[in-house]
Amino acid sequence: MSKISREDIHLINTYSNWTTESLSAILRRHVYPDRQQWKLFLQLFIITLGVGFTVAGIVFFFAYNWNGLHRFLKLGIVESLVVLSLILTLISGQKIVVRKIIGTAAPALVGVLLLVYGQVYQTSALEYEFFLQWVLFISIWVFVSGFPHLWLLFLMLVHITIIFYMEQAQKNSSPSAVYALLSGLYNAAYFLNILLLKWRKAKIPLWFLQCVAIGTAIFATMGISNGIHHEPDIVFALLCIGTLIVYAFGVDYGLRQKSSFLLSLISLSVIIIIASIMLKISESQSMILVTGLFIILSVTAVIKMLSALQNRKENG
Amino acid sequence: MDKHRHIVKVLSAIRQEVPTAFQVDENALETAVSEDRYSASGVAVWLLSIVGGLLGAITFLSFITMSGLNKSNFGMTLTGLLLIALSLLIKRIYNKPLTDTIGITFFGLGFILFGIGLGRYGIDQNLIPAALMATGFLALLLVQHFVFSLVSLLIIHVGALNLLHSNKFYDGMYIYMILLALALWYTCMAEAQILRAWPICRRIYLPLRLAVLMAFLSVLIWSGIKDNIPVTGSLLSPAALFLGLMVLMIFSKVINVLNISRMNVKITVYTISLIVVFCCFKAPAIIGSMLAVLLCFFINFRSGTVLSLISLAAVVARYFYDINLSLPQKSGLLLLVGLVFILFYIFTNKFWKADEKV
Repeated sequence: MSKISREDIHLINTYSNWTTESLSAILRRHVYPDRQQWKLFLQLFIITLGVGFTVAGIVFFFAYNWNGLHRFLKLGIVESLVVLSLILTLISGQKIVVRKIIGTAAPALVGVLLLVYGQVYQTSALEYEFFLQWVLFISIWVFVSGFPHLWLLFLMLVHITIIFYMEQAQKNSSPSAVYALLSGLYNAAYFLNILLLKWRKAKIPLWFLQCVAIGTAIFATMGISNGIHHEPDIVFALLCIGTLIVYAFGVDYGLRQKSSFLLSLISLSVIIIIASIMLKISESQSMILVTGLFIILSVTAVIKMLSALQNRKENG
Repeated sequence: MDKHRHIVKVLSAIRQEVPTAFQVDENALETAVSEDRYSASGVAVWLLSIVGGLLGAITFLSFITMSGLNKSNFGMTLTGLLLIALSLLIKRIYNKPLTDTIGITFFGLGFILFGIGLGRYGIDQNLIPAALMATGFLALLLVQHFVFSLVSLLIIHVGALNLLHSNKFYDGMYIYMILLALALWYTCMAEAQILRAWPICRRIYLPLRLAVLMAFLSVLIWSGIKDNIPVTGSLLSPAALFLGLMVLMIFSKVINVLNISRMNVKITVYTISLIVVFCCFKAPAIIGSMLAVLLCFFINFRSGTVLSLISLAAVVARYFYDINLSLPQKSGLLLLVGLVFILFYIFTNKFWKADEKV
């Protein structure tokens, strides 16, 4: 039987003499969550709050410099907690998703462990060194976890590492370098996921792929729009060529998958880049007016193209 | 699957479930399905229209500023009103996706110019938000399109916030918070009633639901930041307790869905809920975000659930950041709350396992 969606019900309601009671009953039966969905939601909600508050409490505990505690005890407590969360993940008889949530605490606690290590031995490590160690130590767990929420956390950590690295260790680098690296990071993540999808038939949620694609588009757009206002250099050229290749692949993949999201994202990014180039050529009033018209007309053209694509998709 | 075939199947499935008096104008439905290409294009196209429209509005605003057209107050106000009227006219005459970007550009730009133009006249500060709210309300009545209705409703909300803030009516903020909570409750719990009310209600239901949620969450997040609302005596705790009461009411509905009949389990769930609510009696932002999460999930409003969860994380983080305790005390409190939730998880898990065996 075809699944009845809220959109279907709203559409049929417009042209029917449905009674409020019967409409309400249909919504409850087909759209609103049932007992099983509520059970799963409440379980995940409660355990996420439990693990989240506990880890935050541990972070706050060690953020205070406990001079009275021996370093062996400090490091020992955190290490024990890392091991405990891993044991709970591996042996508890819970649902797999609950185990993964508990397992997310372990990589977070590794950060606390490095923080305590820095406190105890006064390593005076730079921020990027701290985050780089964190990224390196948890990377294997992240790859084997098969948990997209943890992948997203990992991507955020790599993102922060790159920003600190460029600020602290590469102060004289090209202005496009940070954008090129960030764009490269999200590109690599996207391609890796596509490969996993194709060859390992991995189950990767759409929201994760969309988040990664948004990251790629944002940093490619920012990098090129910013780079055209500086002296062109090799990094900027690499960013442009890389973006061109990735977008060509993205359009091809989007057309084959008939993905409105991917095509909209790439189109919007290209429109913004072209508008930036137009404003770089001239910042006169007439050029600003032309740029405004260009944005409206090009977005309208893209919407028309996507609607045509959607029609073809629906008609097979 | 072809949308037409899908609707036919859905219709036949619904006919089996509803009384025989149920009738559908199938020709009109068929035509609507044929023309309903836009909604089928998905959220990506909506976002593309909105972002494209906003970028267009910003570019035209730059053009107006550079060309000196902004020097005339009357010119700005009149151009703003004309642009709003033009965008509404475009959507009323030709309500197709192709006119969305230009419509949104003119609509957004119109409100910006109208607001700036009025602001420069030096008139009473209350009149400007009131005029913008009235224009937004009029636009809402004239055109029922998702983005236009959403923008109109949010303009009304921002106007209301501005009125409360500029008049330093800080307790009014809590009254407004409670009114928004009631509005969210009604839009979520009375979906069928709203859809069967006047046609205009049906057409603005989706933007109304999203706008009420966004307005509610924005008030919660804003009030959750320390010193944003000066303490005047105040309605903070009554607001939190009122929201807490609503959380307990939604829990009673969830208990029905979960089909829990054993009295001892009900008492335990209510007791734990009461403890959680009582612990948050100084933090309406936290209890309000919890209410939003539960209400949105109750009706399977997914984007609303995600927004509410983000709001909950933000207000909880802010609460612990602002709270006047030392680091070890904060740590102890966080660990205690975490352990309570873990114990609650163990309790619910045991109960459900026992329940499944029964």
